[in-house]
Amino acid sequence: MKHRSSRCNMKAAIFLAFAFLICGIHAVSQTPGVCAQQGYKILTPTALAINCITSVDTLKINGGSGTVVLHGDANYLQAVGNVKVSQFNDADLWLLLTLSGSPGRLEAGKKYTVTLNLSVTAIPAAKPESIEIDTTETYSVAASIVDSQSATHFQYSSVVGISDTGNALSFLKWEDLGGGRMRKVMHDCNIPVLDGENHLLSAPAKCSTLTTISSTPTEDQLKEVDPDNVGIYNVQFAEAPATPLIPGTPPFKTIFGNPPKIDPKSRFSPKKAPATKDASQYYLNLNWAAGRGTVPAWVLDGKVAPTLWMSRGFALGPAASADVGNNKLSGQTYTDTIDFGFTAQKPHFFRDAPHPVLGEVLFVTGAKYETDKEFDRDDVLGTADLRFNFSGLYHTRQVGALQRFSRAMKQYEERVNAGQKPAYTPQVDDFQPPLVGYALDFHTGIEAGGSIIDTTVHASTGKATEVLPAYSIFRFVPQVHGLLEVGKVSFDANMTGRGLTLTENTVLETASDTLFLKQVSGWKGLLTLTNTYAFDPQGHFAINFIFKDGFAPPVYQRVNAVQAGLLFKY
Amino acid sequence: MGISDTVIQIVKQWASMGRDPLGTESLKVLWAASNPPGPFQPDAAQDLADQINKKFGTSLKAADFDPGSIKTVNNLIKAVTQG
Repeated sequence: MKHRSSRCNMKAAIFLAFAFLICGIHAVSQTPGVCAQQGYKILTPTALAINCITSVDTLKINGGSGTVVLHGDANYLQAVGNVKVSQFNDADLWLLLTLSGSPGRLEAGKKYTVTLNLSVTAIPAAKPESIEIDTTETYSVAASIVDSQSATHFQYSSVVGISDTGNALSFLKWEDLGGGRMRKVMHDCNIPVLDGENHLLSAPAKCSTLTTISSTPTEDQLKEVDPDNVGIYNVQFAEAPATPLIPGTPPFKTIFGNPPKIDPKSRFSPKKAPATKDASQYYLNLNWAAGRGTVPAWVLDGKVAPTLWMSRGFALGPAASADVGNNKLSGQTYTDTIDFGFTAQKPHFFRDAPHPVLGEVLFVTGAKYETDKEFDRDDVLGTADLRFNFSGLYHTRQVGALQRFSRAMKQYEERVNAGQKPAYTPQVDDFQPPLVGYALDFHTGIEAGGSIIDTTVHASTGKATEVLPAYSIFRFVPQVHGLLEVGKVSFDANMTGRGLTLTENTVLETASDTLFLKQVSGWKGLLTLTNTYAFDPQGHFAINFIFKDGFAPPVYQRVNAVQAGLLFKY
Repeated sequence: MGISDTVIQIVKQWASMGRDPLGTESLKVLWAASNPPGPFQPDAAQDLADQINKKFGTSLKAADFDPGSIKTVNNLIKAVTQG
């Protein structure tokens, strides 16, 4: 039905609605009665879901009405029907829009404008809002946003709902596990893909199992839908693609009954390497070392600690660390320690009390094999460590900068909600960190195990050998860690004590390359002080000095020296 | 509660907030604004991953969060439907 006579009025209404949208909605995010929309889903040809930034309850929206207009060419507009606004039962960020009238249905591949008059509890209705709707049935395919799964997990997504049957809405099926827990249901499937030479292949995978509702759902049935589950379809390949694969036609239709169109740019692509050093879980620091009575030498300080899986709140994974070098004299600059093992850690935050003195306890346990760079020590240890973080003792410069940004955003929101139009929107990078930052935490721990067999220790130079008898280990390990940041300079101090309740054996090497057996007991301490100076504010280029003084297992040879190194981060 | 509502309530409690977080808000900023006792990575990120995993049967890890790809509340909601 054409309304050429009212075309001008309709255009004016749409223009005004757009003006409200641009000038009002983007700025006023939590104004009652205004749904600042951040997306939409097409549930059926007669039902839409609008995603508000803020919860509908907070916005006090209790319903509303509106109209839908089809865009033809520049001179053609067609009224499609009326809209009733209601809420979903379990999706507080979404509004349900049901269409009626003549024809009262959306068609595939069209563009519409929905104009809404939302009704608001206890206050006058807000101005009309307009939303552009595109029913093009194009689905994009993207790797999962979850980095640890992005090699094999992909998702088809579109604003247009999926249909298993071709005439009724289907959406992700969840299995209720009880106790408020749930899990997505998947099933074995084969996904058609095209390789680089346009050969059609079938890749084994697990695919989303879908729930399908009636082809003519009532409003009450639609209210039961969670729009977050609409328009998406997950595929988990059995093997990660080795080369980019072009998605073929997926095993579902759109709610308009058509096969979905796949975005021509979409690919099942192999996973890329982490974009930044911070995103990786591997650390390697090579330093040149110098100390009293020593020859300058290299020192390798490395750590590998990826989390492989999570279980019952514990993050588990292998752990390997090394602090070794080539210096052989008594004033060695490294602890000559190599550890292999696994760790499991679980943090606990104390949120129940309003102002808890103890804010967090981190429990770390594991087992490790401890040796030196010559691999002539064989300590097997079980470890447990509790780290205590007290409230108010963690305020690094980065936290300070983020807090400044957060406060600025809060003020910005308040001004916007008061009807003002701030000249700019705060961005994180706008805020310099405070001059001073700090962190202080305390540990208590134990190490228990033993040197399992008698071993023969070889001198680093010459042919001297000495037998290292097996021994048992039980150590108390208290630790204090502090960080002080002042501008571009930071000081990181770590003081570790080891209370050896059992006598341990070690073989030490003298400057003349002779070996002798020594028994160690009582308290042994190790201080590590790291001083870093960043030349640029972004920390791309820095110099660091590491001072170590004390004794570290299993060698317990005195360390008293300074290392210096350069750090590049790009 | 739906996925979005549940995730928002988990984040609200995790960051000790007095209001619901917005979808566009950064998890790291929300954590910093809560006067945290410890670092976002890996401690707080692991705690949040654990709460989400328990609720939704997902397999998120601390490393998936900022500086990984899950940076905002909306990212987390998306991860729940994918993970």
